[in-house]
Amino acid sequence: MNRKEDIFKGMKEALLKGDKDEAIRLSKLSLDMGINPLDSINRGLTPGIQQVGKLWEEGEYFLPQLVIAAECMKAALKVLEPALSEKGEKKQEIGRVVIGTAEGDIHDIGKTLVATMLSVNGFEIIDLGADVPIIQMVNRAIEEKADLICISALLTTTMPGQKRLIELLREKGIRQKFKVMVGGAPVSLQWAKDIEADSYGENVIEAVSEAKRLVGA
Amino acid sequence: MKSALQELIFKRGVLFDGAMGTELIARGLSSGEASEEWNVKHPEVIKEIHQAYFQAGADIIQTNTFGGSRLKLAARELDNLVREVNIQAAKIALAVKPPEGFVAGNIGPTGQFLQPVGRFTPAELEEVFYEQASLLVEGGVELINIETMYDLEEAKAAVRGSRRATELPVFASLTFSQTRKGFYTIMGNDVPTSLKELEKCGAEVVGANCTLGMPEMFELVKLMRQNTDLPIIAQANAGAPQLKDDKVTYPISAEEYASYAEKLLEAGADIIGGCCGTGPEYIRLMAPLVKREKPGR
Repeated sequence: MNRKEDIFKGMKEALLKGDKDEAIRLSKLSLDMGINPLDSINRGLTPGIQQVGKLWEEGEYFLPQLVIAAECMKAALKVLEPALSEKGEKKQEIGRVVIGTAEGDIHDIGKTLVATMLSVNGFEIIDLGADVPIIQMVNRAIEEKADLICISALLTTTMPGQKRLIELLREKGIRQKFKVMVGGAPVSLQWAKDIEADSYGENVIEAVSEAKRLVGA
Repeated sequence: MKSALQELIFKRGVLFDGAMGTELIARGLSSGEASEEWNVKHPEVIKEIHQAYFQAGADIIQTNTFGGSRLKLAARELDNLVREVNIQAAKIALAVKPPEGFVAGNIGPTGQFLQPVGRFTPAELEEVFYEQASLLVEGGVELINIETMYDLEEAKAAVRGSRRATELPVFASLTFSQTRKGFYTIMGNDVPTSLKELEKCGAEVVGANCTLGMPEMFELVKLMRQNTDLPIIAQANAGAPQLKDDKVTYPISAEEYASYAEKLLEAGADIIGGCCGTGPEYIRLMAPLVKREKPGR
């Protein structure tokens, strides 16, 4: 079989098995072999993470598998990215995202996972962390000329922060400048519609496809 | 288990309380505050909520300490309050307890993850839970209720820590999602394994709360009943939060919730309460339907 294909297949497997060392090893090997790092990302790593997402949707994979796969991907990208810039082939930035967990909420695993996945899919991420005051989220979005604001809430008590974000954008007359995506365990499509968010990311995989749709990628 | 509580659970369906967070928000809790701060800042409000639940007919109410573990408080830089928050919470509840009522010390997740997903070991989390349980017991609670655990391993650490802290009864609930393949926690724990392992660690009552509405909880109770001989506790949400007329509401009404509570009892639940979106009215309507002889047992 084509050695290139072996590498891509191996990368996909490494993500599915959560084998960080293997992901790093194959990434280094791919560079030694002169394989275009963009190819490795598009044909090896990305299919791997997408398969992980599919298994999550089917109820086969759970949070630990998702987190570890994302870490494998980040580790692999750390190896590949310098080579990308060297070649002048900067991964095309398809959008700028300000992301954070709503004020009062310290949960961040889902949010961080979404940030990682958006990043590996070509978005420039400004991750504000957890417990972010809504006004800060808005101000940073303006400063960073973001295309998309992603706000997560894991508690029913902090969900209203998502509503306030949208209200605040309206008050400042800048609602149209940003797309807003909401997510988090108690959040639903109905809630997203009620507060007039632009999108609802039910899980990490959907968050990525929705983000791409919102920026027109 | 303490004989009075054990007798009660044996004799008839037992009524737990409803949501605390929902009630606090209705009374002005802002998203910048930790619910537990109100044990110190507004104890009279907490007292009022406990009273409302006892008056509505709850047999057992829970202290306002869901996020009262050192690690959870630390994330808000409130860990210096861990002792005060837990002891105060217990004292407030005990002050309004009727003679036939019980006060449970509520313990929720730390918000941190065990390795390899997070940084912590089971032993470290067990210490945190040991501390919180000890404080609640010092404050005078009569049982420990561990709930909304989404990681079986963290739940086990909580049961072990509580077990080390006290001989009082320890209840443990996980929160399950309904996936295509059945009921699992977000960490991938299944129902049979979870209930078995919680019992092995020393929980005397096991069950589930949060994430699910009543129809789903009904299905889950049936599954749990098949997988344990221990008493089962079940507390469903009043559905997923919605926005109506600018307010956060929950779709399942008190009447509908109460009629489902009856079904949970028939399906094998022994202790029934309410989670997110429920309130004293829910408990009041549930009381006659839950606090009676358990059918077929």
